[in-house]
Amino acid sequence: MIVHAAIRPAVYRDSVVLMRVAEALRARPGVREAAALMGTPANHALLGSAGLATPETARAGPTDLVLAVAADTEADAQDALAAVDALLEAGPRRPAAGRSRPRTLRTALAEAPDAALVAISVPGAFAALEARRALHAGRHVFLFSDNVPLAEEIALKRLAVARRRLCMGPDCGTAYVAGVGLGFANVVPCGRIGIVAASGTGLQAIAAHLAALGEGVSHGLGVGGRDLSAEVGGLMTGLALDALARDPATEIVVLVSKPPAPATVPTLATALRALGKPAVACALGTSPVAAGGARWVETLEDAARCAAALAAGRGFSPAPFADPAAVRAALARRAAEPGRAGPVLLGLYTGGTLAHEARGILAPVLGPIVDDLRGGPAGVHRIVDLGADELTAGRPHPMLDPAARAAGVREAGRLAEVGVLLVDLVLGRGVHPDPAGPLAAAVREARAAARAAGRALTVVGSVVGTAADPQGLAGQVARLREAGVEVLPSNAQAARFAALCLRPALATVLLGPAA
Amino acid sequence: MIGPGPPAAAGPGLRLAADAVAPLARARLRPGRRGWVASRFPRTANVRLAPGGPEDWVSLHAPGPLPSPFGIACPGALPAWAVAGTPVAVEPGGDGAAAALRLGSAWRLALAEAPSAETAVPPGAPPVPAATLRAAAAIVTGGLLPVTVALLMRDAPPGAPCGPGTARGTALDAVLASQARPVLLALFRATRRRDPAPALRAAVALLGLGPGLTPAGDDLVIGWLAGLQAGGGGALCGAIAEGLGDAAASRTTPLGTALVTAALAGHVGVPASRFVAGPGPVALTALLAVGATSGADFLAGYALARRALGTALGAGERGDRAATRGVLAGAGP
Amino acid sequence: MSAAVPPRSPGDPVAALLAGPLRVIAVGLETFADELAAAGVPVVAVDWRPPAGGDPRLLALLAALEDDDDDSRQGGPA
Repeated sequence: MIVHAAIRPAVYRDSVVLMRVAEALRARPGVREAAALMGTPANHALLGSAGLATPETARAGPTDLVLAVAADTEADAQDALAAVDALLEAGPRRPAAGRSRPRTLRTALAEAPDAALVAISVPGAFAALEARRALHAGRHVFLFSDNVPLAEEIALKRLAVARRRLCMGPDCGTAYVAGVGLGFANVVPCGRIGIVAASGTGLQAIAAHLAALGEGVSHGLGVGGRDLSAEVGGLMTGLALDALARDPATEIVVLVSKPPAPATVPTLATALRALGKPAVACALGTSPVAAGGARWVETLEDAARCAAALAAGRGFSPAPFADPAAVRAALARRAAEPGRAGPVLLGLYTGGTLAHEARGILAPVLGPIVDDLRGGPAGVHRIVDLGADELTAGRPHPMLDPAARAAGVREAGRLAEVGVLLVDLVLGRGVHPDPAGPLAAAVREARAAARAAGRALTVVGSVVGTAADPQGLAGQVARLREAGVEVLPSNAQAARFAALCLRPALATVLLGPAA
Repeated sequence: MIGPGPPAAAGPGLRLAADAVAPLARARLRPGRRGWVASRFPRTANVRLAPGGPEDWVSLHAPGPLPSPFGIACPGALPAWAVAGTPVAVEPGGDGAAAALRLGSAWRLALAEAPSAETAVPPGAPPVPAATLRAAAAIVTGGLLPVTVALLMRDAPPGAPCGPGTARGTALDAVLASQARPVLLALFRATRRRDPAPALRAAVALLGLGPGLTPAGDDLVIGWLAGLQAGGGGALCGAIAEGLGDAAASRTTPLGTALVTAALAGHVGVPASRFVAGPGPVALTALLAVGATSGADFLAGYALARRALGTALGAGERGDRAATRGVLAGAGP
Repeated sequence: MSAAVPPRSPGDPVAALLAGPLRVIAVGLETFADELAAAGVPVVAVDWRPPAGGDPRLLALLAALEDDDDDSRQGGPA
């Protein structure tokens, strides 16, 4: 990330103009973040925390306007700043030539009759109304908003199914439709594997694994986190599966979800059988349904590997680790570190599905694992989803603001009982431009603090992402490794590695006999 | 020649008279004072009168509710040529009071008969309904309102626009929220205890923080001061006044200092004072329309002060489980 | 689940969506519209404000009125 800044002494523009200038800078090619702030002491701290401070900005006083950009390349940063004076002189925002923004969805629907999809991200209280408008107008809906009441969700999905339109969500964070990623999406190739997901992060993880395996995604249809609940009954899952069954580009179908309500499982199995195409189901926490028609797997990685194998006509069998030799080497590195290791596992996750997957793998091995930050008996293992509603109401999601989790990581270094820290990192469009940075810094601090107290802290993690993501998978992995994180190729493998750290006797099962 | 004359731009026989004058402006416009236009925007000209301290500002505005506690409402658009640096003078009337404000050499605005604008914070104001705060939080993404409402209300709406796990604004907004959160918490607690030293520290830490020509933190502190004055915290306000005024100059812009100083004297912009007097939907809309996030940041500080002083967040709160389970419920009224 | 889905008719709207190309109306997050535009997807961004001044009571009334309105205009749900 290249950061450039300019100071404009005693240049006063009203707040709306400053906001527009910052937005315009952010919209420029290659620019990841931009600020237009007065150079007050408090704002210097803000710029520092946001990674936008430079020796240039430090010279600004309270009457100076500071303009700072963080961009991918030198050229992008300089081009953006070169535009600054023109932006400061520009009047109040005028709509781009020929494109005046409609003020209501109604107007937009009338003006754009061939816009088949409406993407809605307004507050939950208003989202259902907008979604209903869109469905009544015969459009499909991508409903990113959460906090939509359950009764509204059911009504919306009934309406959608009756009109044979997709209603992806509420609480649908990711989707891929006709080659376009919506919401928090990783950059993955188009291909022959279709996914129906009641979990945004689950969809991301599977899509990223498929990309690494050389496969691609035809469509990734999100149905929202509550679709497979008893109340909603899988209304949208049924329609989405049917759509992929009929879609000529889709050869293999993958279904991913957190545990479905037991009542939905038999009908789910039937729907999978009726697809007429090979199918893989990963409903975390469910035992495989012993009926023909779909392969049931237990982890997100296995779902991708199994789908890729089916597409290539190969067999598939799950294995605990892709590279047992590398795992042995990592364990040896850990054994060589000085200090006592505490007996407790702490997982700090930004993706709820990944946290759930880890719990599922580790609970049989470690015993009870609590899922909140406080409470529970002393010395209990914890795996926490920092993106859960209770922890984020009104606050930025940890995928957008890594600072929240970084604080937890630093604290872990001070807890004597924590011996293994388990983390995830999610890349892609729409999330933080450099999530590895703050995490790596926090990990360094935590491990140093532990070392200073005569303890060894092992940090294990995985990264959901692809080489084509804006953050770049390899670079993010490298930063974590440099900070001392053992990075495994998947969340499931990372969880198993954590298990090995705390229960070495498992090595014979997970790694096979020593070479 | 002494006394109001026809302004050159308006043609012979026309007299421009101010639609309204804020009490602070009237007090500052003593005959013979001179100054200059410090900054100029399409609908606002900020004027610094010599010697240019925090109590020497007045401002001219195009028609509409005065957004400034020391503002003067003009009957029409401000003259285009009145850019930063234009000289300003206060001309005396026959009885020794100020008769007119003169911009440049010939443009005059008569002051004597203009009604006073309602910029004073009314004491004993009604509480802010929780629904009003929720409605505002549902609309505003930037500035400090989102993080403040999250502190005050456990079931705060995720904020507009939202998404799974609450996607909000930009990464910079998120960093702003992280920096502000502990300070807002400290401000709340100190206000609850009516403890001047930590309250002053927290308020000073907010000055100059955030986006805006007048940074968001300044607007929040102004709202907080209004909340103290309207909600029975006058003693606390008096105790921190000097320290806050002193600290402001090094922490924020001169205009920000001037606005905070005006708030310490009990004056805020008209949309803000109208909201304080009657926090209904119309007043809320007008308040939120001020600046980019100025009105919302004012609301954040105001709600924080009122809540902390124990004058609760409005009707329905007893039945409002969310408020009682708020993050600060342990320190609740 | 499958019982609730009407049989496919010519011009299956879901198939039409999946066949592309995708054209979107974005309501809410500006970054959504920006990302789609940057990816070359035709997108109309709505400059959204909460209806009814954000008042939830008015909003519920509006929603109820609209449902009646939509239903009567379209001759009821399809």
